[in-house]
Amino acid sequence: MVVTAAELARGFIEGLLYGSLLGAISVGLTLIWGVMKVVNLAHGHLIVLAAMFTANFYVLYKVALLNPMGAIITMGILGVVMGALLYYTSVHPIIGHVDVITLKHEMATLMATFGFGLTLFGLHYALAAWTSWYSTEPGISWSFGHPPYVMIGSTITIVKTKILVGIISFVIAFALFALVRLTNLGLMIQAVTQDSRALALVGIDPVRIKLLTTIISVAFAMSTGPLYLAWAGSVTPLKESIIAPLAFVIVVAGGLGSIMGSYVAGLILGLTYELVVATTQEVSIALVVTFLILLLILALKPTGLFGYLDDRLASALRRRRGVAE
Amino acid sequence: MRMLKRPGFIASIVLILIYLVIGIAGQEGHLLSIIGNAMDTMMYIGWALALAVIMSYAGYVSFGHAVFVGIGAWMTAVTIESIMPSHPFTISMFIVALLLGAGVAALVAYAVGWVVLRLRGAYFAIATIGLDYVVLYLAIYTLSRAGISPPLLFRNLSLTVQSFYWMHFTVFVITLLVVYYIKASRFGFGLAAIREDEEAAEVMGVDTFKYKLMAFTLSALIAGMWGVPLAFRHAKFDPQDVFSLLNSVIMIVENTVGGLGTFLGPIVGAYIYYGLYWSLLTKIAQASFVVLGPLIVIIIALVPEGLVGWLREKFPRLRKALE
Amino acid sequence: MERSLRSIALVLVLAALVAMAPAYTLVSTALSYPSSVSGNVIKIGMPISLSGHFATEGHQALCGAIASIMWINDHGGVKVGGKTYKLQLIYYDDASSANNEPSIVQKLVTQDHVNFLLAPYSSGLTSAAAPIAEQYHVIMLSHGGASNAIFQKGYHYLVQILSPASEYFTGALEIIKQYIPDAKIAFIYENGKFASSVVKYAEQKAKQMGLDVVYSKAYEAGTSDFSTFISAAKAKGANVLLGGGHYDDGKALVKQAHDLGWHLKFIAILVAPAQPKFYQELDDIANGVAYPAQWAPGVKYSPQIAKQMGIEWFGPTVQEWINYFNKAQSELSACKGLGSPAYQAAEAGAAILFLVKAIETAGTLDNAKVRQAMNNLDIMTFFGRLKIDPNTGLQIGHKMIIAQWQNGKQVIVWPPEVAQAKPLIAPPNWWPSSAKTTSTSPATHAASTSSPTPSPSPTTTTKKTSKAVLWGTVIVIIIIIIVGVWLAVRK
Repeated sequence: MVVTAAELARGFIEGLLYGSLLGAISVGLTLIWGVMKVVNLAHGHLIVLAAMFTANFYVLYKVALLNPMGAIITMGILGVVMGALLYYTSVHPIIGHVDVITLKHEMATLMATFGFGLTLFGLHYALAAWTSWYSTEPGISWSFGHPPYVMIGSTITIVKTKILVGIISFVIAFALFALVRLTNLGLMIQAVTQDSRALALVGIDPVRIKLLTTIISVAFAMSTGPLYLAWAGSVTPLKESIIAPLAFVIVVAGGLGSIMGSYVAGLILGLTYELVVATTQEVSIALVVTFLILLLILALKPTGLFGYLDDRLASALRRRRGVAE
Repeated sequence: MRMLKRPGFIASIVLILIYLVIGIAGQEGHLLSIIGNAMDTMMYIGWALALAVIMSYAGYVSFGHAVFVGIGAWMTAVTIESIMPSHPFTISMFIVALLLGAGVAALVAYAVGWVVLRLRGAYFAIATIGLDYVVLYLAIYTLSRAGISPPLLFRNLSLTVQSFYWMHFTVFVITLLVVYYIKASRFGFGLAAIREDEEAAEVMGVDTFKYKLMAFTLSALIAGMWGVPLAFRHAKFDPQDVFSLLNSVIMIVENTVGGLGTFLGPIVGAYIYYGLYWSLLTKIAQASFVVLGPLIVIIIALVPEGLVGWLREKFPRLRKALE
Repeated sequence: MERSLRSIALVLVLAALVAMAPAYTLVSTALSYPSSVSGNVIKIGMPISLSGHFATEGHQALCGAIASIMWINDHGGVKVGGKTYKLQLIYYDDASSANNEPSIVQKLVTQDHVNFLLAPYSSGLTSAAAPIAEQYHVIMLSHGGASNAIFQKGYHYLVQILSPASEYFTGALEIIKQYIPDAKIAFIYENGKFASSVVKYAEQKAKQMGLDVVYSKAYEAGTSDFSTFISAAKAKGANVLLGGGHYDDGKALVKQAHDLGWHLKFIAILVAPAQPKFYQELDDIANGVAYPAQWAPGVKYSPQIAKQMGIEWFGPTVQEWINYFNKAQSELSACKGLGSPAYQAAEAGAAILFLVKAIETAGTLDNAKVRQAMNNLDIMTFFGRLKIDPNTGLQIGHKMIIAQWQNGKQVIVWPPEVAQAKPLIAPPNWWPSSAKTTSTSPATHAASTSSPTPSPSPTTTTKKTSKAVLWGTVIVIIIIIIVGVWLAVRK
C-alpha cells in the first residue's frame, strides 16, 4: 500500500494532538509515582470513571454544563474526593507514617491501588446492574463548530474536537507543572521525596503533604477523563486496558516525577502510534511498536529520557521573572 | 529424602489423590458435574502456583503473566492446525502441544527475563504488562496475515469432558511436584533470600540474577503448560481472551489472598478465588470486582502476609504444618 | 486500633468464606424464568451476557426468549406424547467472556438438567459453548452467532436461527446497485469473526454485482479512533460506508465519519444502529444510517403471508409477541427499560418457537429425534421464515431486512415487499447541499425527495449558546492559569 504525503501529514498532526492527550493523561501518574513512590494502578480506572460518568450524565441530561469544559471542572472536583478516598484506603495504611519507602512498601501500595482500581472497574457494572439509567457503553454527540472539522490543504481534515482536546491537554499538563514547580505547595511536595523527617521538623505535616499529592494527582487524572471521551466519542470500562499501559509507558519514558518530561514522552508516543497507523493501516502493529519502545527504554535507560526537562523549564521560567534561584 | 516427609509434599500427594479419585468416579452419572468444577480448581491452582514461583517465592510481581498462558494456547493452535492438521485427536497431539507450549513460553521468558529482571519492583511489573501486549498484538497480526480473523476456531476433535479432565490432571501433577521441589530445594531458599533482601542475598553469595532468571523461566514454563488444556477445552485460540490481563489479575489475587512465601498459600488462595468466582462471578460477573477489589485492599493494608501467613503467625504451633 | 482493625478484617474475610461455602457443595442457584413451575416442565438452558461487552444485546436476547416462553405457557404449553409441558428458562450471566462458557454449559447440562440449550450471544461465545453441548448431545440453538465458520466445524447439535453472516450486507448492496450508480464503497470493519466474515462475503457479492469497492480495512476490537481509516477511504473518493462490528465501535465510527465531514450517500453499519439508544446518543447524526437487521418491530410477516407462500404459521403474531415483550419488561427487573424489542430479542424468541415446533413434531424430548425433526421443519413465525440446511444446521429460510434511521425513527426500507418507506439516499445531514450540487445522479435526487427528510436540528440554538459558554470557559480558565502562574512565580 502506497502512503501519500497527505496521509503522513495528517498522521503527524493527529499524532501531535493524540500525543498531547496522552501526555495529559500521564502527568498525574508521574506526580504520584515520582514523588511518593506509589505506583498507582488505579490511575487508568480513575480516568475511565470520569469519562463514564461524564458520558452517562450527558446522555441523561444533555446539558451544556457537561460539555467538555464543565465536565473537566466537575470531574476535577470529583477527583478531589476520589483522591482522598484513594489515599485513606490504599496509601495511608501502608506509607502514611513511613519516612523511608522501601521496595516492600512500594509493592504493597501497588497491590492496594490495584485493588482500588478493580473496585472502580466493578462499580460500572454494578451501577449498570442496579440502576436502569447507567450504561456500560455510553457515547456522546459532542461536536464543535459548523462544519465540525478544519480543512488543511484539500485532503487533510482534522476534527475541531481533537484540536480542542489537544490544546486543553497542554493547558492541563502545564497547569500541573506550574503547580508543582512554581508554587510553595510544590516545593513542599518535592521536599517530601527528599526528607520527610526534616519536613516534620520545620513544622509541616508530611502526612498532609502526601494526602495533598494524592489528591492533586487524582484530580488532574480525572479531569482528563472527559478529554478522552471527547476524543473517542464513546467509552467502556474495558478502555482502561488501553489507557493505563500507555500511561505507564509514557511515565517511564518521560522519567519518573518529571511532568513536562511525561508530556513530551506522550507527544512522541502519540506521534509514533499515529504515524505507524498511517503508514501500515494496522492498529495491531502500532501497538506492538508502542510496547516494544517501552521494553527498549526499560532495557536501555530505565531512568527515562526527559527527566531533566522539569528542572530546566522551571529555572528558565524563574529567571525570566527575575527571581533568584 | 527429608523433603518427602514435609507437610507441603504430603499435601500435594493428598491433592493429587483426591483429584485422581474424582477423575475416576466422575466418569458417569450425576457425578459428572463435579468434573467441571474440579477442572476449574486445578487450573486456578496451577495458575496460582505458576505465578507463585516468581511472585511469592522471589518477590517479583509479574502483572502480565497471562502472556505465558496465552503462548501455551497459541502453540496448541499451531499444533492442531499446522503441525498435525487433519489428524484425529491422539495423546501424542496433546504431548506435542504441551512440549511446544511450555518450551516456547520458557524461551520467551528466558530471553525477556534477561532484560527485565535487571529491573526492580514496579518497573518489572510494568515491563511484563508491556510484554503481554506485544505478544497479544503480534498474535492478532499473525492470524490476520494468515487470513484468519480471531478467534481461531479449532476443528471438532470430538473430545469428551473426561479427556479434558485428564489433560488438566496431567499438567496439575507436573505443576504440584515441580513447584514443590522448587520451594523446598536449595534453589527455593535462594529465592526466599532474594525476596527478603536482595542486596543481602547478593552479599551472601547468591547469584541473584541467575536465580531470578531461572525462577522466571520455570514460572513461565508452568504457565505455558496451562495454556494447553485451556485451549483444548475452549476449542479455539482467542488472543483477546487468553492474553487478557484479567487472567493475570486472577493469579495475583490468588497469591495475595493466600499468602506470599508459602507453598500452601496460593493453593488456598485458588480455592478462595474459585468460591468467589462461582458465588459471585456467575451471578453478577464484572460487578463482582466491587467485592474482589476491596478484598485485596483490606488484605494488603491489614493482613499483608495473607491468610496462610496470618495463621502461621497467629498459631505458631501450626507453623510446621503450614508450609 | 491497628489490632482491632485486623481482627475486623479477618472476621470479614472469614464471613465471606462462609458465605461462599455453598459454591463448594455445587448447589449454587441459577437464575430462572418462571422461577417455579408446577407439573411437567421442559427446561431450556441459556448462558447469556448480562454484563460486559455484550450486555445490551444479551438483555434483549434474554427478554425476547422470555417473551416467547410466556406466550407458549399462556397458550397451553407444549404437547408431547399426550402430556402437556410448561417451559422454563434457566440462565446464567457469562460476563461476555468465553472463559465462562464451558463451565456454564456444563453446569446447565449436568447440574440443572436442562433439556435443550440456547446459545450465548455472539459468534465468539457460541464457539466456546458449542463443543460442550455437542459432547453431551444437547441441541444448542444459535440465535446470536451469525458466523458461517462455526457451522463448518462439524457440530451436529448446533442449529442456527438467524441468517448467517454471508447474508448481512446483501440487501444494502442491492439498494446501492439500484439507487447509487456512481457508488464507491468503503468497508471499515472490526477484525472479529462476525464482522470480517460479513465483509468477506459482501466483498465477493459486490464484485459479482459489478459494484466499485475502493477501500477495505479491518480494525482491532477495542479501537476507538478511526480517523486514519476514514481519511484514507475519503481520499479514495468513497461515498458509501459499510462496516462496523459491535455497538461501541460502530457508534464511534459513525460519529467520527460525520465529524470528519465525510460526505456519504449511504451508510450501513452492523449491530450498533439497531439499538434505540443509538439515536439518543448521536441525535441528528443517526438519521440516514442504515443497518442490516434480522428483524424489526415493523415487519409485516403474518399468517396471511404464510398462507400465500404455502408455509405453516407458528406462534404469536408480530404485535402479540411485542405485547408479550412489553409484559416481560413490566414484570421482570432484568428486562426493565429495554424499550422496543431489538432484533436480538426476536432471534432468541424465534429460537424458542422453532424448538417448540420441533419438539411437538418429534413427539419426544429426545435430543437426537428433535434434531432430526428440525431438518424437515419449514415454518413462518413473527420472525419470518425458518428452515435449516440439514447437513450443517445453517439457517437458509430466513431473509434479512434493511432498516434505516429516518427522522429519529427506525424504518424498514428493504426488501420492497416488507418495506415501510423508500430508502433515504444522500441524507442532507450526510450529503449537504454543497456536496449535492456536484452530484448529478437523478436517481439520488428522486430518492431523497420522495422520502421524508429530517427536519432541521432542534438543538441548533442550544448548541450555539453552549459553544459560546464553552469558548468563554476556555478563555477564563486560560486567564486563571496565567494569572496563577504569574502570582506563583512572582512570590
